Amino acid sequence: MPIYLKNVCFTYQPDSPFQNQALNGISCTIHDGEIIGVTGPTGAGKSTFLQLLNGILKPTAGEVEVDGVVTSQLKGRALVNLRQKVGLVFQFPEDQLFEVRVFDDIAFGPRNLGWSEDKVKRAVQWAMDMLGLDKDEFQDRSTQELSSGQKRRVALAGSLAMRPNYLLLDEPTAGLDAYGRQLLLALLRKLNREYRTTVVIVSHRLEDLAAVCQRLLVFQAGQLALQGTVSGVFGHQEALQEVGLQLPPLNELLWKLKAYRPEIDPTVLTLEEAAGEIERAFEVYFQGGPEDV
Amino acid sequence: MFEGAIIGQYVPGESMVHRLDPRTKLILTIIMMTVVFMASSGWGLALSVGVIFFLIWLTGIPLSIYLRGIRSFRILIIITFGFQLFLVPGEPLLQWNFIHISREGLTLGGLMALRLVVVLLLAQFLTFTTSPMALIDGIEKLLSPLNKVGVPAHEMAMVMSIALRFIPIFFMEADRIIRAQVSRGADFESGNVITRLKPLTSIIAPLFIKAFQRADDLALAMEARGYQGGEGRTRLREIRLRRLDLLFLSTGLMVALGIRLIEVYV
Repeated sequence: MPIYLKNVCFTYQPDSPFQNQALNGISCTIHDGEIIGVTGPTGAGKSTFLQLLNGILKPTAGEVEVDGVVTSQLKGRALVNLRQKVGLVFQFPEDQLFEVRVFDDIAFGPRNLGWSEDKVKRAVQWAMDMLGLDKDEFQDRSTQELSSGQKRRVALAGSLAMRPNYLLLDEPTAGLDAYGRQLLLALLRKLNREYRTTVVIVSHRLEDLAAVCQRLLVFQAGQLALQGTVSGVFGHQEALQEVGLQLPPLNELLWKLKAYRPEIDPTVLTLEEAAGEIERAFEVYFQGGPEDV
Repeated sequence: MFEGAIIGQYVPGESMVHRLDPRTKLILTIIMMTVVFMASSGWGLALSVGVIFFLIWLTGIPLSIYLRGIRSFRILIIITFGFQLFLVPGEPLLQWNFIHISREGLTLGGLMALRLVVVLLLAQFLTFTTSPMALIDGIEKLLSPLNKVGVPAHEMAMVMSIALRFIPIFFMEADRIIRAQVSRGADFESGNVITRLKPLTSIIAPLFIKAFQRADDLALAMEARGYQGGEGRTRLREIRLRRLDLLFLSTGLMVALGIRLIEVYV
């Protein structure tokens, strides 16, 4: 079932001199089985938005409905169950590791859910497989002696092991190298395709979102400035720039070329499509095709 | 989670009190605390409480914010009051089985509770109107004469200011880790004391690891920028006693003496 947000507002420290309205009147739906990107400048309310989805924060006005249940009515174990369903991976999750053994750290979530040790073992095995962590090699190692890339994978495995239906990630690619980013995005795609996990990614990097997402939500100053398909949002170059976001270099280039060749579609998402666009638009210009130049 | 304002957090403002030299406010606070603790008569207490409320009014910060700060100490205040009320022997007011309340206990309990409230009010008067850095500067200046007898005033101030600087970061970090562990199904709300203690290690361990990393990074960054202790350091904002400070200090001293005199002779 989808996640519905109805006119959601959230204020930090209400009625104090430090009062700060982070979200103001957000209404949207996160559909089952989609990969959706959330973007916007710093302080636009993206992280607050994520925390509202798994009940860490409760809206000060409006409603968040997950699987037919309104989050603000949940208490105690019901909240824990919500967090099993809606997994949230914070920024720099490697900082949250605390157990001595890698296995125990990944098993923390499943054990909190009260699963049998047998089921916990299977969940950990599955999560480690998903992240390419060899069980025999890693499960008994100390979490603190791993490299930071390995730590992040262990932390991600810790969230995956709870087998969430929805996976929310806050800036998951921050601080990763190009290869690490590719691996992570591939993992999200696989989770989505093979396990029907709904994935919500918060990121500043539009190229990362463009690579995996079907839809985008653009936040600005606590409100939804834009939403739609990735191509649809990329069509609003000026609006994005106003918000302080930069299109992926590919689309920047296409927008520049469009100034000369208006028939170019600057919202395509892959290198191949972009090459196609450029080729098609300049065919006439080069009189016969680029091969002759 | 730490959502309420942290007790004693600086509330930026433009009031007369905000503009005072931190040393003035420190000394004023100490003077008023002494007066309240020495006051033994109803008159003396009433007068000093009046003066404190006047000072609070001068800060331009609503009283409700002061009271919110006190609210988090209500249990301490109630226990203090209770101890005096039930345990001080004297002329009995109420006697029921083993419960015994004396007139002396009631007055002493009330007095202690009032003193606690006043001390909290004064502490907030100081920290609401003085940024932590100004406060540290003030302490350093006040302690600097002790340099000659080997008290490392600058180093002490530096340690304090770093500690202060890191408190909010520490809290934010703790908050972040709590949220992360709650997202992994840690339950800090249900269960008994023992079952609630267990997930606590999942917060404390990463918090300490991070704190040590931070301390290392900071030491390195300070060294990289050539930090080498107090000798010959200048500062960005020199603090200076002005006419307003002298006015406050002299008035404060006179009021304090006045209250003492009234107490002794009236």
